[in-house]
Amino acid sequence: MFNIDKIKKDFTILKNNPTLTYLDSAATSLTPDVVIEAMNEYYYHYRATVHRSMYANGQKADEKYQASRETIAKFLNCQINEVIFTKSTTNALNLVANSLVTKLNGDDEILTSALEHHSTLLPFREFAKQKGLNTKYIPINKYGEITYDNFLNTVNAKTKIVVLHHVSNVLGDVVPIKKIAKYCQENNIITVFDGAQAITHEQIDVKEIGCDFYAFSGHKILGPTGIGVLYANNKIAKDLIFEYGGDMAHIVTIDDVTTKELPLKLEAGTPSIAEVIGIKAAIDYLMQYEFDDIARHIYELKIATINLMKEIPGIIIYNENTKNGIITFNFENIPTHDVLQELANENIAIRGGHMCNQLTLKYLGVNSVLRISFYIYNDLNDVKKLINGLKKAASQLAWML
Amino acid sequence: MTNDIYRQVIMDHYKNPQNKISSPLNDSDYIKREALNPSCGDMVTIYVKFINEQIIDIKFQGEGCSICCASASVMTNELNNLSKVVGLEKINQFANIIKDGVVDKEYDFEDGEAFVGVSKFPARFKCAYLSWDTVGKIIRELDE
Ligand SMILES: Cc1ncc(COP(=O)(O)O)c(C=O)c1O
Repeated sequence: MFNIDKIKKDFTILKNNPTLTYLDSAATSLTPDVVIEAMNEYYYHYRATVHRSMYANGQKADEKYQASRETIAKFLNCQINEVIFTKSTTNALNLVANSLVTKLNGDDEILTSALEHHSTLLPFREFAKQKGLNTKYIPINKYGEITYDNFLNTVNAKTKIVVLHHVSNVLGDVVPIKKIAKYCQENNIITVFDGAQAITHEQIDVKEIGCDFYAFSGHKILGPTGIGVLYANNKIAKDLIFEYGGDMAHIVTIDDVTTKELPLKLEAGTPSIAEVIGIKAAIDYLMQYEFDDIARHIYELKIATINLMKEIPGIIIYNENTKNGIITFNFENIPTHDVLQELANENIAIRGGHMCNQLTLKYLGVNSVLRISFYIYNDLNDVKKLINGLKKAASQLAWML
Repeated sequence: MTNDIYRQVIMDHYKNPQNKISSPLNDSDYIKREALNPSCGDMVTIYVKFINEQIIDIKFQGEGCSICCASASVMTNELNNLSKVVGLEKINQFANIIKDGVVDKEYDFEDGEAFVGVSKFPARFKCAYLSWDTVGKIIRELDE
């Protein structure tokens, strides 16, 4: 297992915020110094653009940019030209949605679920709507899950794209994407998975999953904001265009353009170079640990927290049984906003609201939830402070009952 | 510390809201407008009845945090029976109370004054302002 005291020391932000209890990593994680230093080094020592410089700093920027792509290709077990840098998960999903949906027509359909993050659902559904195409939903079973059986009952000959989350940001449920991808491969259906939450605690092997697209954001895995990764199966991606512009174009004439090969073909314009360098440093840092250990650590914190939360009257937990590091809950008859305020007064950072996932909240029958999320730098001390904060909130807000 | 924000008046309005209705109002004499702040769970509907230039009744329905609901309840009294023009001025004045913590005596606020504490919690501005802002939008749209 890992040494949390040592890990905490890697994060200057924790030293600079000695009273902070940070339990909002499912929204965005903290960043260790090595990542910041890697990006600073670029700015301080070899700032230049990539792909087209003769001079030394440009060459070095290029090498570092390329090295990041190689690290990620290994990390995901794919080819180097299947790693596309984007701005975020949201950006990646929009680019894929737009370019795939353009090619659909007639009665082609999209298949998704009513438990999706807005970033997963909306790009596909809304682009499809603009083309007059239908989006269908896989029914949710009584445990709030998307099962392979329900997928099989919904998928049909019109289904052309299946887009789903891998792990939910609200409940933490895991979608059986491997089985779904296998079916889709055999039936010529394109699969797009949102890995924004799964990537934080699970080793992702896109070849083993067998999907066509898999997206995640750097900022949820200790990296900087402004950088996302899209795994894009090159057999499909070779025929796509995301955006036109510099760096993607090969030969431009007065009335035509040819494009470069993958991956540059899908990365128009000057990329987020420092962030690409930063995400590599984050993945290198994370890879010191086994994902199994990370998953176990955050799950143990979840269980320890839930056991203590049960001693506080009026708490309803929505996802006690999912195996991950997030706890979604409410205080009976106390609005989430008031709880958040009390916790904020103690410098305890958790999330509240609709979690950019209004359909899941509708399924839960509430307008708003609270979410605690753990990551590698959290320990039982954070749990203790949280529990004290929750108890204090409950007593401060008892007047509302 | 939060006692700064939860004044007794606010607690009272939250627990015993005034002019709150429990189901949608179907009355064409009222102008209806939804006031939604979905990212934090504040979802209220405001109903205002005018006679000529005068507000003569305000009701609200929905749910939200203590500040949002108490503020809506207070608003229904503070703005009632005002002309549209004075109503808009008072709405601005209320924004100052919750933003800067200053109360302009010219506008004789009653329970609205209790929200001065919100100025110390900028994240709650939206909650306190939601229903007031919605009445402002209704008035401005009428005058367009
Ligand atoms: C499941 C899921 N999908 C998509 C996103 C969007 O990620 P980003 O905001 O980095 O684009 C998030 C995070 O907010 C998420 O949790």
